[in-house]
Amino acid sequence: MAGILECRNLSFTYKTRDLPSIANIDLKIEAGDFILCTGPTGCGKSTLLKAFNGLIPHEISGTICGSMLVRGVNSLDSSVAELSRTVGLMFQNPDDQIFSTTVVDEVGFALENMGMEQGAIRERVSETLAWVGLAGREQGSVHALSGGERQRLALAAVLAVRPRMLALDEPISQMDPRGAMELLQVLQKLNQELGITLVVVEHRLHEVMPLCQHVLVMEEGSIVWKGTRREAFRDPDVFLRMGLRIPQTVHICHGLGVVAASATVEDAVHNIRKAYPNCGSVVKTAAKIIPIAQANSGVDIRGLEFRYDPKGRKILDGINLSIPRGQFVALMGNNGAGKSTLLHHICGLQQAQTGQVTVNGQAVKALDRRVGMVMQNPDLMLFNATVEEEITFGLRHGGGRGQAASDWRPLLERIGLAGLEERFPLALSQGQRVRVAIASLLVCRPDILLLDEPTTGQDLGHIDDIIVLLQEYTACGGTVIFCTHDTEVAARYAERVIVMTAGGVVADAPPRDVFSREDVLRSAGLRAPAALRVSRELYGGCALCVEEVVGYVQQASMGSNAC
Amino acid sequence: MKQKILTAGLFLLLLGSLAGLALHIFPEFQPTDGLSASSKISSRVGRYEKTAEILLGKVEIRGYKQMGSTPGLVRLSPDGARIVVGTEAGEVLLFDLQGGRIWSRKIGMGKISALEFSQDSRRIFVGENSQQGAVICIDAATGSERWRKASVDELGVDIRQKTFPGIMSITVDGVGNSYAVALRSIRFPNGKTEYFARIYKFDDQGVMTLFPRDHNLDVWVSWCDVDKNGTNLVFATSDYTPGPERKYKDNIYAFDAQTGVLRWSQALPTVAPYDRTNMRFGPEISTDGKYLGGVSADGRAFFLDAAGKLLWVRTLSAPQKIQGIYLNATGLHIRHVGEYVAFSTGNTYNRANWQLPTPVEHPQSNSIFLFDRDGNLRKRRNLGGMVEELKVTGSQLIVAVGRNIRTKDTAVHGMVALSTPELDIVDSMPMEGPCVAVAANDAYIVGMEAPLQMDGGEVIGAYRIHVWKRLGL
Amino acid sequence: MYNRQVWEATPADTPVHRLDVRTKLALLAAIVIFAVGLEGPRPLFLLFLLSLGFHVVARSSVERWKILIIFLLVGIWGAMVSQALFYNQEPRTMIACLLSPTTPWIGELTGGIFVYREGLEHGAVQALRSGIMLACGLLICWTTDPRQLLQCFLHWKMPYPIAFMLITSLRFLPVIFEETAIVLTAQRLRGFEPLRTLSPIRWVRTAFYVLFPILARALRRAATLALSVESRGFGRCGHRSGMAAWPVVERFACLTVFTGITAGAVLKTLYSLQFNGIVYFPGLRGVYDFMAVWL
Repeated sequence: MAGILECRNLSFTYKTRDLPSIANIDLKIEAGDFILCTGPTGCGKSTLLKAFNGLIPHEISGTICGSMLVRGVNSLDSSVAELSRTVGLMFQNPDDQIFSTTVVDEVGFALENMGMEQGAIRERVSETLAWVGLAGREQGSVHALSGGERQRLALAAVLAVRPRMLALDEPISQMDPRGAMELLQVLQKLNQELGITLVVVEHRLHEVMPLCQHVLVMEEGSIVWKGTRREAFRDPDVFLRMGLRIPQTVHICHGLGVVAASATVEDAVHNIRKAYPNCGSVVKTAAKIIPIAQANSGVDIRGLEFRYDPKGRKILDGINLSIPRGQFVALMGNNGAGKSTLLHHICGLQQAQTGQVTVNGQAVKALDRRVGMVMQNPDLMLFNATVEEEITFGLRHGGGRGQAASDWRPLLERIGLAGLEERFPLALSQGQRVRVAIASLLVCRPDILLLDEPTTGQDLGHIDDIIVLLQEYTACGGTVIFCTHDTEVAARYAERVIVMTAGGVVADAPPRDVFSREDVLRSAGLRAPAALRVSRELYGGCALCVEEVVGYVQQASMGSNAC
Repeated sequence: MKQKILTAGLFLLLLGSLAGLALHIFPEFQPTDGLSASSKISSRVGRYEKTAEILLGKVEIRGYKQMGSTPGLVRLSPDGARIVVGTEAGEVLLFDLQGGRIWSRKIGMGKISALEFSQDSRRIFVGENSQQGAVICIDAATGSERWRKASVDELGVDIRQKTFPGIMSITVDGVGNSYAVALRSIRFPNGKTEYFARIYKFDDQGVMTLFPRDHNLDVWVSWCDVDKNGTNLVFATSDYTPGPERKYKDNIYAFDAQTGVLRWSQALPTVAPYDRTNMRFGPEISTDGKYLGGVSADGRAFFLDAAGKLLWVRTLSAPQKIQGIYLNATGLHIRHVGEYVAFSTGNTYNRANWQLPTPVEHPQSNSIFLFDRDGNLRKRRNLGGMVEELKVTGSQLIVAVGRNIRTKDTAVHGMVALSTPELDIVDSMPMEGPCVAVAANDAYIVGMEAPLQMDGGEVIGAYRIHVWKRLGL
Repeated sequence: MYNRQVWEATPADTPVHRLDVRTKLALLAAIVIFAVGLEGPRPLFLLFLLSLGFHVVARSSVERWKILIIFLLVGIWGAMVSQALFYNQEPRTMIACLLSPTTPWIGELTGGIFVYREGLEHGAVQALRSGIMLACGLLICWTTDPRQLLQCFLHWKMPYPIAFMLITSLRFLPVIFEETAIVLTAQRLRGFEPLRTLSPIRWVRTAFYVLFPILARALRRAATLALSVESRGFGRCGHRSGMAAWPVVERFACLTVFTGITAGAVLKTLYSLQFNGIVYFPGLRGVYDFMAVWL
């Protein structure tokens, strides 16, 4: 394959910083390649992508050293407009990129900038939309598209100019599993059928890794590892060390000392069986010990119904739930199932039209202080000048149960933000911002804590930090209900999983039971965690996490599975 | 449900606000004309019945601190079928006797300063004060303009100093001619004044004759009268800074209305403390053409024969010095009523500065004086308020009674019909606000009311006309 | 009001939506010039009704009408009340006395508080002016794709950074409103009632509390959008596609309107010249009269 892009000792330091964000990057990207670029937050991945299409250094100020050749031409000698015809760049959030109101206008924008004639634009737009699975939607409003469709539209907007290479910065980090899958399928098609080179920066390795050909790992501005996907599967330690989330199948294989050829369940099962021939016996797996939740309190929902529009469909359709105190509940379902609306009813943001919601036996009032809620975008919850003020805000406005103002300090230490009391919350990293938002609610010790997609866009280390906080909270009698699409996180940490579809509850059971039901998962656009599928294939089991499968197989191979 | 109510409420609030604005901005859509059969209002004695009450739109509301009343003009057509009104807002409106509007016309940027029907009731003459100071002839049936004559050609204009020519009054004779008095006055910073005046005569075709023919009058002229045959044209003059440079030094002038030749002029004696006799209204020729009467600002009445001989002078209100302040009640109107002549006086003013208060009300203020032709006072009647206008119908005097700036008694506002020679009140038609203009014939009386702001801020009355029909005819 | 899509432009098939963006902007400019230039309440009121009529033709949703009405009512009554109380030109007619000058201390201090009729009228004229511009401006925002606006601005040689700034602000103002609502909700969820207070200090505090997250989000978003459009070739270099031909009928209509505006401006200038005593043309008396009566 001919090279499409080559970096030679490339370094870049932003104008406002002292240290380079990318340092001494030597990289050659072959045409038609599919590269996954990953690494911890702040390692320089996004900076590297911006250098690919010339934004750095033409539009972003800083000091650049080294060189970058795009199809043999030095990027410093070309404008962004010229480079963007070879390298298209797409960002994380489609809502921050789309600014037209119709699909055709959004896709045609780049072509107009090229000076293409209107008739040709129309033709090119239609063709591009067909590539991304939005054929026939030219005249549609962008507001009518789902989240996944909007991201595909953003992709089409970049693809319209027919770049030879696409650089995508965390394209699926904000998306639900269905949307992510659809986008990844499109990307795969573009790569395999049209030969478009892809460089994807992502944290959700478990979804992207199976599709890519090469993997780059960056740390502190440098490439610390590069290799093929196979090589990455064989050596997952580098990812695990950085807290990156590799496919569970690869993780299981690694835990069992088996080389994973791919990330598929079938391959993993096949290779494990080869290495552990005795692991297939059906034995009981030790059930996870679930602490007995305190009854007669918590959240009680009876006959809850709700519609936004009196003539429209029911958003909540006869919900009956009882969530005792101290329980850690995952609320799952596809987009539009009514999860967020249910959370709004529990915290009193919305009032029930039919039915009743009570907390600890008392009806929920508007904006009930007994319930804390972390919103989907926690940035909108941070409005104080310092971390200290943010965390104590609720205490200063009548929250808390009489605890001392100094009680928040230990909490700050527990969330790993000690020493950052005087920092401006919005200037922190994304993971830190989420933790500040959660801590600011926890300090008031609400009876119920609701979280709307708290782990979206977080890497594994941050997810663990958040979960630890929440588990401590439930241990003290608080109830946690969190919305998530992430079946792996739900399986691992939740005591109970509630699945919603079209405003109703279709499953309400411990994770093991829920994730065993393929029909339920399919209807909700979910997929059982890979660990569970591996365990089911391997030994008819129902494991919820990698450790369970590894533990079982190891035990089975030793000939015992004592409870 | 709550949302629907809120939405409906918002829409209604907007519609209501817009409707209120619309009614205020487009007053012609306000239902005001005419009175229903069930709302008959009688005059105080019961000789008249109100047939219409018509609002005339927005006008600046004056209080007692402002000199002069809200201007307005109203005339009845000689055939008795139409009422024409000229408003302060520059609108000419024609109504029937039931208050139905026939047409209205805005004259643009000028201010209406004079209004009169032609003798045959087919034309309306409108005088304006503007950069052009035109007389406009309007077809009474259609409201369309027939011709106009700008007095600026003769009197000039200074647009920078805003000294504009204006038509001060219009009168008609009995043979189809109309006469307009045009004036432009300039007051200089040193107190000196300069005047340019002319009298225009128009025949029924609009052909114009000028008085004087080839030069302007260099004094204040605001009134003229003509005998019914159109032969004798008389006018009186004022001059607030008289000097030797003035050409027209006399007080009354008479021209041959057909040839334009000056027949005579008469200088009238002065009275202390005034150094000139000023006559802003009058003179008026008697119906038989044999006499003319005039009234001066210093409160004296004059009676002359047609040849200009001064027959008698009477003091209506002698200037009085009280507590060191000269007070007088200015002479206002002169009307011939059969064999009698009526004069009126106005409010009490401080001679030094009309805005300054007066210690007492002049005893002869706001009064009508009726003399016989020999100069004998037959009767005097104090009306309690400013005599804004005085009309004669048959043997009655119809008086528009306005504000009394001294007593501020609002009960006097309205119209009064007085008999002659007794000056008894035959009937009265009260109004809330001061009556600022009146027109009358044997069958109808039309009065124009103006709003008045009291010292406490309350506004009484409205800018409207009241049409009263005499009963029993 | 929290529904973002109410604020954003949405495609539809109405005569207003179908108009070329250049026509819309030209007519908007014309209406604004009229609104500023006209002084008479009658033509302003008619122009105001016309601007509302455009919304009817554009089939604005009930939600949008609610937004428009709220802004208009606040503008109308706010202007009228403030002018009614503080009008200081002559003549002025008092129609109500809110605080008598004889009231001890405060009456003497203030000289009394009155409602003036001329103030109400003046306020109404100002409100109509601002209402016209608001209604027409919102109509453009709601019926025109931001990208088409951008095309038009660039076609008319507006510097691209300014054009882009304008469009971005239009595009993301609704988002900012929505996020403001979310921030206020988040504050209330944490026990801070930002709007249920009469304390000015609290209002200031609320303003800062709202400003921080909104600004941070807006800055991040603006940066991303800027990079995104630059990555799609938008910038200083290169030749952009020309716009589709401006329909002849619409172009002619705009030309006619602007000819009218020019003529009106000339007439107004002439009128002002005579009003201020600079120059007066007797032959134009009819024109002056028309201006005085109608405009």
